[in-house]
Amino acid sequence: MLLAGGRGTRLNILAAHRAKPAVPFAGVYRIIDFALSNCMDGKLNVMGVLTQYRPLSLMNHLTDGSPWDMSGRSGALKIMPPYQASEDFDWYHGTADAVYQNLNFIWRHKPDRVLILSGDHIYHMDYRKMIEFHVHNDSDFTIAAMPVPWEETSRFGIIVSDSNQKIVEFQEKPKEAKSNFASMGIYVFNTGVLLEELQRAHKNGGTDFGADVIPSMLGRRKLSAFPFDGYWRDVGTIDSYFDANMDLLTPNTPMDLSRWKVRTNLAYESVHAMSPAKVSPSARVANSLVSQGCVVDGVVENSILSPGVIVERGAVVKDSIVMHRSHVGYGAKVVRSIVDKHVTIKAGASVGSYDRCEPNKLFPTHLVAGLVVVGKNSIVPEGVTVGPNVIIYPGVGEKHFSGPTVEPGETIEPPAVHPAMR
Amino acid sequence: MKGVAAFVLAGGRVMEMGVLTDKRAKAAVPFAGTYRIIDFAMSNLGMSGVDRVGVLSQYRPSSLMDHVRNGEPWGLLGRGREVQMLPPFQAENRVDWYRGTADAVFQNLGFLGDAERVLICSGDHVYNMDYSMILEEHMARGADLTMVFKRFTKEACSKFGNAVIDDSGRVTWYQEKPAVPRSDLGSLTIFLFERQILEHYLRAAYRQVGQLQHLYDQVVPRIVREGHVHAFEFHGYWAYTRTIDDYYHTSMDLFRPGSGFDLDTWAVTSNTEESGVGDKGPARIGPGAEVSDCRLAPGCEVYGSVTRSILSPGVIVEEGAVVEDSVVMNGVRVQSGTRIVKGIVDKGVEIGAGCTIGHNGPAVPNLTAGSYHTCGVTVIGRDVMIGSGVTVGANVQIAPGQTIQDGARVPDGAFVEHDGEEPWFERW
Repeated sequence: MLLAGGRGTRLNILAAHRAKPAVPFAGVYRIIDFALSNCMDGKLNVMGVLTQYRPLSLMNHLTDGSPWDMSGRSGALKIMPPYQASEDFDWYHGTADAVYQNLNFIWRHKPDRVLILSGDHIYHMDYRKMIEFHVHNDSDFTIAAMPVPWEETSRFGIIVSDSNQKIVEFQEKPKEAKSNFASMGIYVFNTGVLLEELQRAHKNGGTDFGADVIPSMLGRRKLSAFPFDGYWRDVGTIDSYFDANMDLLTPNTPMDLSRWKVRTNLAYESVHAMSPAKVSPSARVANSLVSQGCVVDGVVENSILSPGVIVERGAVVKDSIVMHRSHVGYGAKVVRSIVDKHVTIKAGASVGSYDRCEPNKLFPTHLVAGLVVVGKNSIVPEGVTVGPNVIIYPGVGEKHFSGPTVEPGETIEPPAVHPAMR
Repeated sequence: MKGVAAFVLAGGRVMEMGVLTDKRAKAAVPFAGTYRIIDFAMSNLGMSGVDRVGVLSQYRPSSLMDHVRNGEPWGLLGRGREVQMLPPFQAENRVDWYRGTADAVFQNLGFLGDAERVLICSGDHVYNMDYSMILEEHMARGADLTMVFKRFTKEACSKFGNAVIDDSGRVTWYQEKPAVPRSDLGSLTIFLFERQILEHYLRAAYRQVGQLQHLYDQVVPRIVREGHVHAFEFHGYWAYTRTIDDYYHTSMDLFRPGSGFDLDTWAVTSNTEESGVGDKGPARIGPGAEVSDCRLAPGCEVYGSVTRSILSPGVIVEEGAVVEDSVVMNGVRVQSGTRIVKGIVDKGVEIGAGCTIGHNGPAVPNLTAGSYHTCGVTVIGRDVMIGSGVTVGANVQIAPGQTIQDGARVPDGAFVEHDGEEPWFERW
C-alpha cells in the first residue's frame, strides 16, 4: 500500500497543482518513481496507491502500472481515492485511516504480509531484504529505520531498540529524542496483525500509523526495526528538494539512478516521442543532466533539464532545475532557480542570484536559502530581473509584473480567481 | 484515412548496408540515436491516420518484430487499428519465399480486409509526410494509382523510378532505373492504389508470367499505359539509407544546417521499451566534458570530447576519449585515450583504451563493398571486441562478433571477415 496523498505544503507552489509524490525529480522522473521502482525491482507487483490531494497528475502518471510491470495477469496497480459509502466513510483522516478504508483490497488479494510505503522519498531499497528480516525475526511488525542528525529528530518517528533490533520504545516527533534512529515510514505487517490493529485503532479513534497504531502495539506485539544505511532523502522542503537534485551532479554520487533501476512513465507528456537531446555548436554544457527533447544553444552548468527544455543562444542556466518544455530565451540568465513546467523566460531576463538575503516575506519558512521558484505556465517578461528567495506563482503572466525588477523575498501572485477557475 | 490499408516493405537481404545488416533487416537498423529506420514510415502512417498496417518482412525479421510489436508506439493499436507482421509463410499450394514486392503484396491480399485503397511504402526511407494529402489528390484526380515523386537532378534519376508527366500531373511514361532518365522526377516508392486495380493487375501479371516479382516492372508500367496514374510531388526532406555511404550521409544531415532533416518537429515516435530508453535517465555531461553539435540519447554519459556525433542510449565516453563525426550505438563504452573519427559503431561493441578508429584523410574504398562504401566512414559490426592500442583505418568494415587483438592495425578499406565460427548469438 503506497501512501501518496501527501499535500507537500512546504514544497509550496511546486506541489500546489499536484500531489507531492507527483513532483518531477531528476529530469525525467517523479518522486513516486523511486518507491514504485523499488517495488518493481523487488518483484512486488500488486499495489494499492492511496491518493487524496490533487491526484490527477498522479493518476495520469501511474496509468495501469505497466511502466513498473504491475499490470498483466498477476499484477495490479489500483488507485484508491477517498470515496463515499453507506456510513461514516469520509476523507482519509490519516495514513492508517486511508489503509483501513481500503482493507477490501487486501482481503481480495490475501497476501501473507503487507508492505506500507510512502511515495515521498528518494532512496533505493531492496524490500525483499526487509521482508526476509521480518520473517526471520518472526515479527508482527517491522519498520525500516536509519540514523538522522540529532537536531532533526523532532521531525521523525524515533525508535529505541535493543541489540536484537526489537523496538522497545517509539516517540512520534519528540521534543527530546531518546535516540536518533528514525522511522523511514516503511512498514511490514503480517496481514492478520494489520487487520486487527487497524480495526482496533478505528474503534479508538486512531487514524495515523506513527501517532496511534505503532505506539499502541508496543508491549502487545513483536515489533522490529530494520536498519538501513543507504542514501535516503525526504524531499519535503524546497531546499531539501533542490539539494537532493543537486546530489545527482556531485562526483561519485550515491544516487546512481541506473544501478537503482529507476523507471518512469515516458508516455505521459509524450516524452517517448522526443528525440535525443540536441547540443548545438554554440552550446557549452558542463556537469549537467540533459533529457530527451532538449535543445541547448546556450550555456548550461550544474543543472538538470527535464525533457523538451529549450535554452537559446546566449542564455545561461546555472545551478538550476528546469522542468518539462520550459523555454529560456535569448541572452536570459537563470541561476539557483527551480523553474517548473511550461515556463517562458523571455530574452534578457535574469532570474535568481548568488546574493544572500532575507527569507521570502510571504512564506519565511519555505524559502530561505536564496532559491527562486518559478511556477508552472508562468512567463517572466523580457529584461526583468528577479532577485533571490522569490516565488512566482503558477500562471503568472507579463501583466502581473509591475516593473523591471522583482525585489528579493517578493512573491508574485496573480489576482485571486474563483477556485473553480483554477 | 478511412478505407486505406498499408503495406510497409521492410525488405529482403541487401548487401549494400554491409555489416550493419548482417543480423538484421535494413529497416531495423538503429538510426539517429533512439530510432530504427522503419520508425519514419511507421510514424508517418500513424500520424496520417492509416488504421491497418502490414509489415512485409523476409530477411531476419526478429529485430523488426521485437521493435514493431503491436504498433502501440505509433498509435496503431486499438479498436479498428492494427499492425501485423507479415513474414513469408507456407500454405497448401505454395512453399516459397517472397520473390519481390509484387509477390509479397499478392500473397498477403487477404490482409487488406475490406479496404478500398492500398498504400504501399518503403520501411527504409527517412522523411516526414502526411499521406492523407496523397489520398486527397488521388481522389480529386480520380486516379487508379498515385505515385509520389521528388525532383532530383536528371542524372540522379537513373537510380530511381523515373517518370514523365503531363501538365495535369498524369504520368505518361514510367521506367525503373533507366540508363538515360527522361525527366528529373524520381519515385520515392510510395504508391496509393485503388484496391481493385491493384488486384486486377497483380492477377493479370501472374496469369501472364506465372510468377510475380516486382511492382515497378510487372504492375506499374501497365497501369501507366492502360489506366490513370497520377504523380504527387513531394517537396520536403527525403533521404534513404540504401548503402553504407547513404546511411552515414543521412545521419550527418542532422548536423547540416538547412538540410531539412528536422527530428524535433517531425515528432517521430519509436518503441522506446525495445531500444532501452525506458530504463534510462537524462544524458549526463561531466564537469570536464566538451560537447558540441551532438545528439545525446538518454542514459549517455560524456566525460570526454564529442563533436558532430550521435550517441544512442547508454553510450559512455570516458575522460580523455574523443568522438568526432560518428554514430555510436547502444551501450558502447569508449575508453580513455581512444579516438573515433568518422565511425559507425554498432551495438555492444567494446573498444579498449588508446585506440584510433577511422580518420578524416583520403582512403581507398572498402575492399568488398566497392561503390557502396567509399565515403571514408569505418563500420564496426555488432558486439565486436577491439583490444587496446588498436589502429583501424578508414572505409573499413568489421563483421559482427569479431575480435581484434591488442595493438593490431587494420588498414584502410579492409573487410574483417567472419572466421567461420558463429561467435555471436542471434537475438531471439
